[in-house]
Parts: sequence; C-alpha cells; structure tokens
Amino acid sequence: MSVLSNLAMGLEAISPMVILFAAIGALIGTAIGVLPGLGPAATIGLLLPITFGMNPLWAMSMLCGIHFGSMYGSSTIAILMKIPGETAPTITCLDGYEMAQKGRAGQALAICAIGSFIAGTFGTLMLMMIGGPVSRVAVNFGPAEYTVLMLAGLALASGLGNSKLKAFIMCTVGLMLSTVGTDSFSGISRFTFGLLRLEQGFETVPVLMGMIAMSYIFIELENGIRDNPLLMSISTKFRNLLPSRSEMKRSAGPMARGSVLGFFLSILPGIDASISSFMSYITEKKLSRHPEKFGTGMIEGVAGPESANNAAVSGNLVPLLTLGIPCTATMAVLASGLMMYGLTPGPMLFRENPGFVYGLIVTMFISNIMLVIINLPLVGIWVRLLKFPVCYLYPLIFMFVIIGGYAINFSSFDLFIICVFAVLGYFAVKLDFPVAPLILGLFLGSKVESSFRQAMLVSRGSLDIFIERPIAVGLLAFALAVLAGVPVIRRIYRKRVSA
Amino acid sequence: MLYKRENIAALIIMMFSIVTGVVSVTRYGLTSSSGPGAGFFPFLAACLLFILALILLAGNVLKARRNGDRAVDEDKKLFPRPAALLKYFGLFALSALLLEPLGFVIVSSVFMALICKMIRPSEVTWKKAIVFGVVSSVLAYGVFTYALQVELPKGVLPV
Repeated sequence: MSVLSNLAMGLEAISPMVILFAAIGALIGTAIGVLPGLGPAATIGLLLPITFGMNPLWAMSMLCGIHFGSMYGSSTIAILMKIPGETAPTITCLDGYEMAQKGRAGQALAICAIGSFIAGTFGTLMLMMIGGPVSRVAVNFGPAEYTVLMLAGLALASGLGNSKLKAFIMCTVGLMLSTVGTDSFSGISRFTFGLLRLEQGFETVPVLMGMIAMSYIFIELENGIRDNPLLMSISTKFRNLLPSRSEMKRSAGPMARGSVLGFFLSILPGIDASISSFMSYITEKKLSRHPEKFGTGMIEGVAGPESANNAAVSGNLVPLLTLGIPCTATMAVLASGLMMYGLTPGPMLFRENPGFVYGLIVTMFISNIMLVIINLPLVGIWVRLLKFPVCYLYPLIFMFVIIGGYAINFSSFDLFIICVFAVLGYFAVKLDFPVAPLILGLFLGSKVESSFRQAMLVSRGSLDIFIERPIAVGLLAFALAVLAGVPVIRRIYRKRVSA
Repeated sequence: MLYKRENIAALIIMMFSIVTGVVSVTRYGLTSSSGPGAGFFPFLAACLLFILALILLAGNVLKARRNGDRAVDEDKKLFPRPAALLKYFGLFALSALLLEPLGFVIVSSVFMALICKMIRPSEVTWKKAIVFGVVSSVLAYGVFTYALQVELPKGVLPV
C-alpha cells in the first residue's frame, strides 16, 4: 500500500470532532506544559482518565495535541525563563534565553513553533512511510522474539537515567509490581493481600500520577513554593513575534537537519527527545561558521534542537505502534491510553485497525497545524498564565488529580494507589532514583512474562528457543549493538556540552 | 562520597526482594505441569533486584573505603519541612477517604480552601480561600459531570 493510499485512509477517519479535540489538546497541553516540572508524560497521565469512554480517535487526537502542546509549552518556559519544564528543552535554554534577554523572545518562540511544525510534519510522513513495512515484519514475531525484544527495550530504556544501576533497580521494581494480580496462566492471585481490587493488577495511570505528578507537587509544596518575581515582570507582544527573512534563512538548515536527526535517532529504543535535541545542538555548533557564538543567542541553537525535539515524538511512536514497545514514559502513557480504548499497540494494530492507525498519524499532522495556529498568536497569554499565583494554581492541580484519579475506575481506591505511589515517587526523587524506568517496567512486565512463558511452553522448557530463531538472534544482536552504541553517543554529547 | 541514604534504600530493597522471592517460591511455586509456575517470574525479578541492590550497596562501601570517607549524607536535608509535607499528604489521603461518602463538591471545596490557605497563610484570607474552593469545585463538577459525562461522586448533596 502506498503512502498516498495510507494518507487517504487516514483522511477518511478524520472528522470535525477530531480537529476540535486536537485543538483542545494543543491548547491544554501548552497551558500545562508551561508549568515547570509537569512534562508531557505527567500532563497526559493527568488528563488520560478524562478521555475514557470517548471515541478512540477523538481521544488520541486530544492526547497527541496535549503531547505536542506540552512539549511546545515547556520550550516556551525554557526560552522565556530559562526554566526547562522537562529535560528535552534544556539545551534550548542556552540560546533561547539569551535571545529573550536581548529582546528577541518573540523570534525565538516563533522559530520554535515553526520548527516544531516542520519537524512534526516530516516525522508524521516518515511514520506513515515506514510504519506499515516495519509492522509487516513484526507480524512474524513469535513469543521468543517478543521476549527478547521487550527485554532489550527494557534494558535500553533503563539506561536513560543519570545512574544506569538505579534505573535498572527501578525498572526491576516495575517488573515486580507488574506481577501483582491474577496470573493469566494459572489463575493464582499474586501479592493481592486479599484485596479484590488488586486482582487486575496495578494500572499504569494512577501509578504514573502518583510517581511523577504528585511526588513533584509534594516536593514543591514541602520546599515552600514562591511566586517568581521574574515571571511577574515579563511582557511579550505579538508584533515582536515574527522572525526576519534572514533569521528564517539561517534557521532552514538547522530545522531540516534537526528533523532528520530527531526522527531517525529516536526510532532506536533508549534515545528520547532530550538526547535528539542535544545531538542536534552539537551538530549545528559543529557545522556553524561561528561556533564560538553558540550560547549567546544564536537562532540556529533554537531551531535545530526544537525541530529534533518534535521529530523525536513521531520517531518514538515507531516502536510503540509497530512493535508495541513504549520507549519513553510518555509513550508508555499513550500506550496505556490505547489499551484503555481496547486497542493493543503492536503489529496487529496496523493489520486490524489500519483506519485508526493512519487516522492517528493524520491526527498528529493536524495537531501540529493546531499547535502553530493556536500558539503563535497566544504567546502573550501563556506568559500571563505564569503570573497566576501559586496559592491558587496548586490547589487546582490537586483538584485535577482527584478528578483524574477517581475517573479511572470511578472508585476512590485509585486515589489511595496514587497516595502510595506518591510516597514512593517522593523518596525516589529525593534519593535520585529515576521514575520513568519503573513505569516502563510496570507497563512491559506482564507482556514480558506472558511472552516468556509462552516461549517456554512452545519449546517445552528449553531456553534454546531464544538462540535458535534467526529473528530473535538478530534482535539480540541489534539490542547489544544499540546498548553499546548509546553510551558512546551519550559520552560524545556530554563531552561536547561540558566543553 | 558515600550516601548513607542510598545504603538504607539498598538495604530496604534487598529486604523487599528477599520477602518477595520467598513468597514467590513458597506460595506460588516456581514450576507447573506446563512450564514455569506463577512464582517463577516474580522470583526471577526478586533475584535480579537483590543483586542490583547489593551492587549499589557494595559500590558505595568500596567507594567509601577507597576515598577514606565515612558514611556522609548530602548537604541538603532529606525532609526540609516534614510537618508541612505530612499536612499536605494527610489532607490528600483524607480527601481520598471522604470523597465517596461526602461527595466531590464538599470534599474538593474544603480541600482546595485549606491547601490555598496553607500555601499562603498570611496573604490569602479565609473568605477568599473558601470562595475560591467552592467556586472552582462547583465549576469543575458541572463541567465534568454534565459536559464531559464524567460522573463525580454526589455524596450527601442532592445535586
């Protein structure tokens, strides 16, 4: 099937409601994304339960809008205040903030929005082109291949934290938590302590809300949050927004390179948007005639990383949609959303629901358009949101957690789950244990276990199945190559950044 | 530099993995007639967790010996304001407990007013905090229940 027929199939699934929800998502995502600390994963996790019962494509269009919006929102705060709401726009701070200090905040934000749109569109097209072929290969995967693939995904994604050892510990805790509930093979209840509600195991969303969102809020409240005087004094006008022709010309190359780099790097499990944007920044600095000026307000230092950042979202969707492996916390939340709507991410999704998959990809394109339409004229308003007093802002966030937590199963039990994981997340953050690997472990744990046990059934208990099948061996070799390659890439960019 | 907190965390994780591993073997079984039993995977994960926690602990001990340091914590306190933390956490847990019996509007109004007042005790008056709590809770209830069809608990209020 050609790209055009895929595109036509995707367009057929699009309705005015999809466009409306994409716009709402982009708006909400940007509004929450500008709040420091609440990244895309937490934002989507907070709002995921609200989409329960909705048409899956409407819901996913809203979630994609939220994802793109929150990424743009965190870049906005990074440029305006040098406060990256999450790790991905950290590198944007260097030149974006300097541009803002020189009175060119509008240009930086506009380039950020335009670059995000171009990269998002490129990533969406690439996803449409390679998603189908990858899924056709993946259909031939048996339980042995899946086990190897998911274990490799877990191992690689675990390397995302500052300390690999701590990331592996958290990932293993997630794997152990995934065993809570009724064992699907034997029907035995494991670690439920007689609680009927735990028979289904832990759902990802309340765990994520507790571990990521609530733990962060408790830490902020404990530290005694204050209104930032810098935020109170900032002003941005629309007429200052548009970049000049020469700035656009200077940004074209970095946007193109950032898009390609961001997409293809992030297909690899373990490479997220933050690494892609760092690599893009390093590339632009290397290619520039004036590398010494980077960090003093070079527009190339904003255009490249921001494009890479956005293209990485589509790149991360490749392993999720084609293999069912979420490589980042945000993808794990999106995967939970798909499961909530009765859709299992993986190769069969392309075969059984092609209309939905290509509709989703077209939806991402629409979300990108909405992002530009909504955000370019509304920069001033987003800045005003930062001036909202924290004494009103935090109670509102709490209220959304209560609503979101309750709406998962219309039961207060999930609020207690949030409480428990908020405590766990609080200690994890305090002791510098990364939280994302636990979420990935929890999400993939039951799949790894069932694939492994199926493989054991097929092979009558022999572990040789993992080295006898060529795809499994190939995947193992690929995983080892990436496992060895990622630290090299990381070492290079760390050296460059520190230099 | 050795972090005492990390060592305590590693020890807790090791204890947790031992308990989980023992329960997996004794209660669920490692094997079944058709292959690995219900306890096999949790046991495997528990063993891995124990080893990883042991590596963390051993690594810290070795670092301390090499550097000649005693177990020292980082400069900043682990709990800068434990009383405040407990108040916020307690309030959230209490609101989870009372949400279904009392209903969303009452619980959320009281909870938001209290949080608002606790964040800025001197700047926000009780009147402002209560008005903010009630108005935002009623609005949220209306939007979620009637517009988004997400039915929140009614509780004792006849709404």
